Amino acid sequence: MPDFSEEEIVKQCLKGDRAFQKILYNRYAGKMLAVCFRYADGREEAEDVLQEGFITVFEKLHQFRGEGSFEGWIRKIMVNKSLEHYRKGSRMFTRVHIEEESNQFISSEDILSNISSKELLEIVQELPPVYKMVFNLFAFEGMKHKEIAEQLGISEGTSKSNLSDARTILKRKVKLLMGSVVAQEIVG
Amino acid sequence: MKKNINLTDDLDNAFNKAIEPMEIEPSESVWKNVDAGLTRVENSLLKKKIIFWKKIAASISVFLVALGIFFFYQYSNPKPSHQLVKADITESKLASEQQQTTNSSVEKEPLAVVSQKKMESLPVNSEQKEKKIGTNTSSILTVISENNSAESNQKENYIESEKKEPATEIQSVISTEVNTEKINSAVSGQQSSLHTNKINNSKSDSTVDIPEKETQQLSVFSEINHNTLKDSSALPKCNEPLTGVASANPSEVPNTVGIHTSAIFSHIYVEGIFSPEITNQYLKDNNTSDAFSKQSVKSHEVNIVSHSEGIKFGYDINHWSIETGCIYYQEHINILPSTIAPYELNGEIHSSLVTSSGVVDIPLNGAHHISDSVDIKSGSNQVLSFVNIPIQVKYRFGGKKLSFYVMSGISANVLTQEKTNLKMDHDHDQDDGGDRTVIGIKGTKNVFYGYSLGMGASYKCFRGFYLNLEPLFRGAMTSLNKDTPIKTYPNTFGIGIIAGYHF
Repeated sequence: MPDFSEEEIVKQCLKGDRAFQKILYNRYAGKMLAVCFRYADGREEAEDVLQEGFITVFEKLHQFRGEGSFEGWIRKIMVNKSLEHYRKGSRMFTRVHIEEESNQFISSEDILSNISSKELLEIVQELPPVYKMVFNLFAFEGMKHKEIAEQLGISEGTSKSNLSDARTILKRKVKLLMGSVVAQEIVG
Repeated sequence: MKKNINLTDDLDNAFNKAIEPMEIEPSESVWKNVDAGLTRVENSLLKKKIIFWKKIAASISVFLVALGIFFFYQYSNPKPSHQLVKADITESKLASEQQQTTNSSVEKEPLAVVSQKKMESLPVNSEQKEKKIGTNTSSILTVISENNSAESNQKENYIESEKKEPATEIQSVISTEVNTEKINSAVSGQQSSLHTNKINNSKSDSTVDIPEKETQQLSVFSEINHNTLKDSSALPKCNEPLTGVASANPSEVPNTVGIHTSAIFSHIYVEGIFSPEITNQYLKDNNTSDAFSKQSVKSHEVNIVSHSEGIKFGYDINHWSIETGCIYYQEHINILPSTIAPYELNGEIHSSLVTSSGVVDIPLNGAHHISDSVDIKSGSNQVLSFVNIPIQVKYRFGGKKLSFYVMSGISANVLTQEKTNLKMDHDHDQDDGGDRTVIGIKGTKNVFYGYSLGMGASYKCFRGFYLNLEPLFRGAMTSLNKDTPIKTYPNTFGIGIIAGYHF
């Protein structure tokens, strides 16, 4: 298959050429599913969001003015779709009792060298919904607490508190995973 | 040795670095669902497009009908109005006139009153000093005087008209060429209530009051020669439409003429059309594919009868008319049973049906393999919808009640929808029972251009209403598709049944 430029693909997609729409889909579907997966409750929901997101991408393609990256534009649509799903879902938030972790120190290099990306993604995915949303929007989308609060319909204080709780949970799980890795190394 | 970094921002960074570049391969069903979703969106957009055009057509129809009703009532029930007709004459000319009146009292001055139609038929010189009376087009009265005496050089006289209140009389200020006594007697004799006591011959203005009758369009052009009324019977009766033209010599064109704005609208007509019709596709090989020829494509298609409907409006100029409008029509094509071979594109099995209009891409629902064949069953068809916007010229001849015409023109045909309804082999396609509607045909143009040739018979029913029977042939000047194996030029013949109204 010839390697079409992004401009050419967008141009043909705007004409409604299904073959080029498929090319565009193939180019970004993998990355965008990873984005959707972080926000969703499982793969099935993530694929639903991806599907709706791509239909919106093709519907609104004429609105893309070429300002900023095309991938960034698609990603924004996916995040918005994920937020829509989150708002629609009747997610009862149960406050989790989070105990403060002892003041241990760990480096990002340690995390990255001991735990796979897939495991880290699963850890994020396992967070309680609202923690997951706050953490994703803060750590991956670079949103401020004010914006997060507006998007999720919570107060700014709650957003900060949720982020803190999310980090505590993640830290605990990371330690557990790293501990198991060390144990495996000792056993091995 | 491990670095002592606080697990806050660095945790975020670690997750970001690890997860951000990740890609997860979606399952195959996702694209299929996206594809199906896009088809639904396209269908919905097409429906909106059609609804938009229908709304445009409905709006035009409503506007034209409203316009028709307005003019119908405007002319059948005009409101009474009274207007002032005034002729301004300079003092010096007045003096000259008075002198002439004295000298030539024995000479007679004809007052010719001609019909409204006659007046309209006269050539109009807009440069002439004349003015239509009043602003109410339903009731117009113009009085024009002209001294045709050789000695008097009164061609510069003009009449100025204006509306007077209360609206109980019309004052006509007439030039001094008019022998006021004669006018008085003539008008009295006709019960026109010309109040000549208001005719002031001493200065610049003379005034005549004329009561205006309802439902009349009045235009009086007084023809005065040598200050004497030749024939008072020439004055119109007040319960009849009045139109007068002043001229000493009947062969001369009067230098003042009243213009009816209604004349413009009286040339306009509007028509509603319904036409059963049949289309024959003229095919031409485009040499883009060896696999398909016009013979092979044509052998799998049969055109069937369809219909068109729309609205036209036009403008008459004597025997000629120019008209345009908006006509919606469909081409129906039956697709005969055939077998097509699937192919692989981007890892998916597709199949294409080459038709005279273009290529129909048939997405398959996964039950097919590349080695399978796809059977198109009888009952499959293709429908192309167009909006035809013509510009046509007509030449009419024949009688008043029954007339005939020939016509010719060009048109733009805007494609509004292309749809292929397929009945496919049930064994291969269990997901949807084998019936499938594919919106969109690859290769069709948004617009193709054509010409039209036709003739017709027109029967005037009552008032401005008439019925036409109009056999019409529409041919294509450009193909309706491009970059396809076959170029197609649709030729359509229909017999239009037309109901029209002439304002």
